[in-house]
Parts: sequence; C-alpha cells; structure tokens
Amino acid sequence: MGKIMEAQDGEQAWLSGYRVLDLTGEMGDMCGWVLGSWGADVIKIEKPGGERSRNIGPFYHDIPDPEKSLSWFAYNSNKRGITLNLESTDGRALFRRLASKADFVLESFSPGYLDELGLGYSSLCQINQGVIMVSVTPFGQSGPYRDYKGTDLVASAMSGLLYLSGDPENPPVKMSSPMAYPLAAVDGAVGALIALYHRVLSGEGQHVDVSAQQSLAMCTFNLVPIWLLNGVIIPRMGNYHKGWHGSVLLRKLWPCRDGHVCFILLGRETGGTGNRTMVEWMKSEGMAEPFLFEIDWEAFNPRLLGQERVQQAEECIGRFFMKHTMKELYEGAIERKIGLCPVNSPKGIYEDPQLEARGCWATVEHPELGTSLVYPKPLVKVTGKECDIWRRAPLIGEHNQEIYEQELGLSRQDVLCLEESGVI
Amino acid sequence: MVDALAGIRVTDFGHVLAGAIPGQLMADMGAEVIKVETRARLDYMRRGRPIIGDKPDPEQNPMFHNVNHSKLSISVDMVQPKANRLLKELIKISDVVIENFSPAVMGSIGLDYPDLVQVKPDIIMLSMPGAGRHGPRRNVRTVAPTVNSLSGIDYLTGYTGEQPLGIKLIYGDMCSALHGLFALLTALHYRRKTGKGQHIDLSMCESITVLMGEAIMDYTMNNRVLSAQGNRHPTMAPHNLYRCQGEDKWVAIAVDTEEEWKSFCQAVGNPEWVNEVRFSDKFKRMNNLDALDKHITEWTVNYTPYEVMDILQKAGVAATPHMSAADRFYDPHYQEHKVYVDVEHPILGSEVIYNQVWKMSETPGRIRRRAPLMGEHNNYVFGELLHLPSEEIEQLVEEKVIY
Repeated sequence: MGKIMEAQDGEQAWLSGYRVLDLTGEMGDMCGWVLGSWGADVIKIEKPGGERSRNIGPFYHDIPDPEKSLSWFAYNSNKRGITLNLESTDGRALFRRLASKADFVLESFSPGYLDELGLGYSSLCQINQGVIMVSVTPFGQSGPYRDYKGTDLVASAMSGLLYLSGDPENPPVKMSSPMAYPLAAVDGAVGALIALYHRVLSGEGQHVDVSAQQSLAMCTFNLVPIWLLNGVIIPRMGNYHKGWHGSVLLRKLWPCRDGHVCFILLGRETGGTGNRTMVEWMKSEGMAEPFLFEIDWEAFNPRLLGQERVQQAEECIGRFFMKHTMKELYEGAIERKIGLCPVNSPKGIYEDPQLEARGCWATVEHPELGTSLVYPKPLVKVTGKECDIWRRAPLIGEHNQEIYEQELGLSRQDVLCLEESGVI
Repeated sequence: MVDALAGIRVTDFGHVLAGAIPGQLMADMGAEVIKVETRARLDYMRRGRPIIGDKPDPEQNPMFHNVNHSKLSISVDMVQPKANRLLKELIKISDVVIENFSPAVMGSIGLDYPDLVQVKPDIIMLSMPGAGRHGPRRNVRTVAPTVNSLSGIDYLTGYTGEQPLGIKLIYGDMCSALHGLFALLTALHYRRKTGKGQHIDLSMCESITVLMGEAIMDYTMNNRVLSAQGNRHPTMAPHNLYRCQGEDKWVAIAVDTEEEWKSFCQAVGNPEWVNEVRFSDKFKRMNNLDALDKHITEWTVNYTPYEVMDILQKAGVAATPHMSAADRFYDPHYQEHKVYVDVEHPILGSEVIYNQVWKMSETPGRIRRRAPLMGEHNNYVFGELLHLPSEEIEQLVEEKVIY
C-alpha cells in the first residue's frame, strides 16, 4: 500500500493509497507526475548517480547541476526518489520486492530492455497479478521501428504535427519545449487508470503500451481525410491559417504594440459576429475603412470574398492592432465577445490574472537551496478540493533510507553494503 | 473481448474537438456514451462543405466521424423547456456528464452541476471551457487556434530570434481532452471508494500551459523569458530537420551523446568537415550550429528521408522522415500499428478513421461503431432507456423538442 496523501481539508486525495514505481526518463516523467498530483504514492527509481534527464537545462540560476534542472523540478514534484541499479542481481531482487506490492510500474526504456533483465511485464505479473505496467517509448513496443532511436523531435517529425508549422521555404519547426513526450506521458496516465478500472473488477493487471509518435499523430488525424478526399497536402504557411477546404489564407498571429495577438477572420457562424464587432470597435476609434462595412459579416465566407479582399481587410485590422497593447486588445475582445487572445509568453502566462485567480501557482520550499520556488500547479479544479503539489522533486537517493530500511526492512549495514557495491 | 469501462453511461454534451474526444475514448473502452446534439445548432464538426452532392449535410464531415465514433446520438433542442426534463431523466441514469460550452450555458438550460445533483447526487460532471468555469476572464471566446496562443505554446513555436509562428494543429485540444479524461477516470475511482460525485472545472488553456513547466519556471526562477528556439535543443547538436531529395522533403536528426556523434560521423562517410575543431565536442557544435546544419544538409539532400533514416538508425542515431499525411498513411510502422482503419459509413461509404492510441494487453478497446447519424439513437434512448411511450416521442418530435 502506498502512503496516504491528505488534502488540506483532511480528506484523502483521490488516488491516495496507490503505489507507483516510476522508472521513466524525461519521456515519461509527466506520467508519474500526473498520478502523483492526485495523491498516488510515486517512487522515482533512478540509476545510482541520478537519472540522465537531470542534466537537461534550463537550470536554477543557470548553474548546471543535476539537483537544479528545471524540467526535473517541474515533472518530478510529488515523487519520492531512490536509486537502484537494475543491472545488478541484488538490484533486480530489490526491484522485484518493490514491484510485488506496487499498483503501477512506469517505464520508458528501449523495448525489450526490461524483459532481458527479467523485469518485463510477463515476469512482474508472475509475482504481482494485479500490476499495471505502462511503457512510454518513441515508437511503441511493436512494429518495424520499435528498436529505432527516438527523441522528442524525431517522434514529432514522424507524427506529422510539424508539417504545418514554419515558413514554406524553411524547415518545419517544433515547439521549443517537449511536445510528443508530455502528451504520450498523459496518454500513459489515462491508460493506467483505465487499466485500474478493469483491475478492480477482474483482479488482473495489464501492460499499457504508448508510442509518443502515435500519441502526437492523433493531433493530425484530420489531415489524412483531407488528403484522401481532396488530394490536398496542406503546406506550411508561416503565420497564416488555411481551413479544411482552404483556398484562402487567413492571418493567425499578428503583431501589436507590445507583442502578438491571435485572431482569425473566420467565416459565418464561427467568426461572423465577432468580425462585425471588431469592425465596429475599429470604427469607434476612427480606424475602420468604409469597405469593411460593405462586407456582410453574418454571411461572410472567406472563399467567396477572395484572397485579395481578405488581405485588404486584414491590412486594415493589422493597423488597428498595432495601435494597441496585447492587454487592451484582449480585454476589449472579452468585453465584445470577439475570439482574440494574446500570444502569451511565459511571462505573460505568469502575469495572467485568470491563472492567478484560479490558483495556478504553488510556492514550494527547497530547503537545500535555502529558498521557495514558484511552480505551475497541477491543473484541475474540483468541488471540495484540488490536486496539488505535496512535495518538491527528490534529490538523488533522498528516500533510500525511508524505502530500503523502513519499508523493506533492510539494516543500515545492508544499505551501506549495497551502496558500496553500486547497487543503490 | 473485455471492455474496461463497460457499465458506465455518459451523457455527452462535448462538441467540436476537445469536448468530443474524452467521450469517444471512453466509448472505445466500453462506456455507453450518448452524444446530445441538435439540428438547431449543429456541432461545428458537422458543418463544412459537402463531399457528395452540393447541399450542406451534417453527415458528411469526416472530422466529426473521427472524434465521435463508438458513441450513440440523440437530437434534442436543449433550449426548449421540455428538453430539460428529458435530459434530466437521462442524467438520472448516467454516471458522467461532459460539456465544453461557455461557462454560462449549462446554467441557462437548467443543467448546471447544482441542478444535476438534484436528480443524481453522485453525478460526475466535467466542464472544460477555454479558460475554466471561474475567474475574471472565464468568458473569453476561444477556438482551437486562439487557445494555443493563450496557453503559451504558440509563443514558443518559431525560428530563433524571429516572430512566433505558432502550432497549427489540434495539439491544445488533445491536451485538454486527455487531462479531462484523466480527471474523469480519477473521479470515477474516487466515487467507487466514497460514493461521492464531483464537478471538475478544467481550463483548456491551463491543461496546455502545464506542459511548459520548465519554460515557466525559467521565468519564475531565472527571470528569463524563453522565446522560440527553432528546432534547437538545450543539450543536443545536431538537432534539426534537414532538407532531403524531393519536393519539401525533410528528415529529423537528433544526436545526443558523443558516442552517437561518432556513429553519425561514420554513417555520413567521415567527410573532412566532421574533423574540424569547431565540431569536436558538443559545446563547440552548439556554438556552431548554423555551420553544422549547412554541412549536414549538403549530405542529406542526396538522399530521400527514408534513406537517411535507414543509414542513421543502422548506426544508432535518432532520425525519422518528417511525414506528410500521405507519408504516414503508407508508412510501414503506421500500417503495422493499424493507426488508420477503414470504417463503413452509410453516406460516405468506406472512410479512414484514426484508431486507438493505446495498446492495452487485456482491454484493448476498439472502434465499436461508426460515428452516429444525428439522432440515430433517439428511439433507443427515449424508448428503451427512458421508457417514453412512442406517441409521446412522436409528439416531442412534432414539437421539435426532439430535433
């Protein structure tokens, strides 16, 4: 049984009592993080010396240090941490003891690696029939590319998600933070809970196999029917947006006085009323050219209006945006029910009053750094209570004593021995 | 075949993409998901130009079919007073309600959480508007592209030092759908333990923002505003998409360790440039990325993306083609995983649907039926589940309550 996490009101957190062994690297960090945010007892198991992902920047105060990686902080909070060398015989025996009482085992090794160590799903379910194993890998456990090396970039390129991002003459471009791994990790967490639902009824666990490339490819499902039905492969178009039958380019991101905003001259039901209101807003500030009033916005169809006229309208709107700040445009848009948003930078997000009001930030103590740090909080609000950050990410081997001595009952002597021989 | 979520009934007001997907994933896993929709205000995904003929037809959008399969459909004009009673009867026998309207809508039709607990005290309701149900900017109007901007991921997508270009696909919708589903499943577990229901308030924007932890903490801790870095990686070089033979063909290459770099050099035939001092370790490569990328491109342009993948993967270096829709459809790995499957539709005939993302060993889940026609299951739901006499159903159809 895992440790019981209590929310502030003393009620048990939703997943409290479930024990998770988290063997994942950066690929799957978020899977255990999500489970931990809801109160599951997550134990991160690192190789002696610490997981490689601790070396990924940015770092706290830019000091490269495995105890100061911000992505490590962000997605390993709510976990306890132990070290264990799975490639040693003693290490494997200790892992089996832990796994015999675990509800979930999360891993992101190359397919087959744990099987070779005798720690794959087929071995673990022998000692723990109910164990649920979640594997998050770049290409999944089967198929011709299963043994290929993958990274977030490589899985993203294969998923097709980069296909539309970037300029036509330049390389497709990805988001400057991981995009395939976090989505796959959350897929893994969802799969884990579906498996848990089944386990309650049947007593049996199962193996959940998630491929990062396939998780991300689901975001591109619409491009396949577009291609099959119309024979069209939509190209990259920089800052522009093209609809499903798209023959007209519509601007998506626009510069304004102090940054960028997102607004699209969408047609009819989706955009029409907002477009008309936008034009009225521009008029109230003397910035709407007369031809904008000749357009019947309620019936507006970019395709029928044609690229040239759309562009004229966009130039006029663009001039209006340049007169205003992101904040003025955003607040004005909410008031007028126009679908316009700021293109928020990390700073913009942190300063967003909506997120502030919804309690999206947590201050977490880091005694070893002699300070408290601001974290983005797990995100769901529920009646009564919410998921939370219970503890900062573990230091390397921080809970070795707690787990090996107090829980597994090893003596101090045993633990020292295992440390010396490089097992923990 | 065993269905993990058999016995769970969902009344699903979720529409467009983010709202429709959680219900679909539950339906594939065995839940009975009843989509509530109406001709009075079509789900955006049912609109669009017709594929067959030239009349608008709510049954012809493949996008709808991709996010609503395995569901049942009832058609009810929710704003009619009589609809309220029908929907409450349905919710009384449901476990979960999903909705992604603007914050005020469910209240305006008398179906907000406090109304629902009156008829079903342990109901679990998932609300997932753009900025959440509460807070000063809850009424922001969002569509998929704008919510990506609001959440911060657009700002982080673009070339180094240039203006943001943004994500173009439904990444944000998928994040929200998965977080929403995770919360729902957690609430179902909690209900089983305690008998308590929940109202889950999920902000689409926050569910995307939470994926950018390190970028946000870089600001809160180091006071630095991370901007788009192109395809650069903090610890890998080379790390980019490189032009290949053919029109707009690219391959992604990522080299992490020194060992991989050595394999890479060998695989590209150890040309002279790889021995230059400026590429001799990762730190130097990081500082000479443009020159490095130029040399690599001189090599990749001689090959197709698949050829580059074969050469580099054999050497243990991460590389895959950058795949268009057509590439993915024909790719052997996608094919072996049965990512795109044919599903028969009564109007469009055989069409391609995106399959399950998970491979689960005991409860694999499956597309149990094609997406429903509008109101296709009115008789089943109102007649068999709610025991309305057929005259009453006919009457409601006439009054356009069932519509």
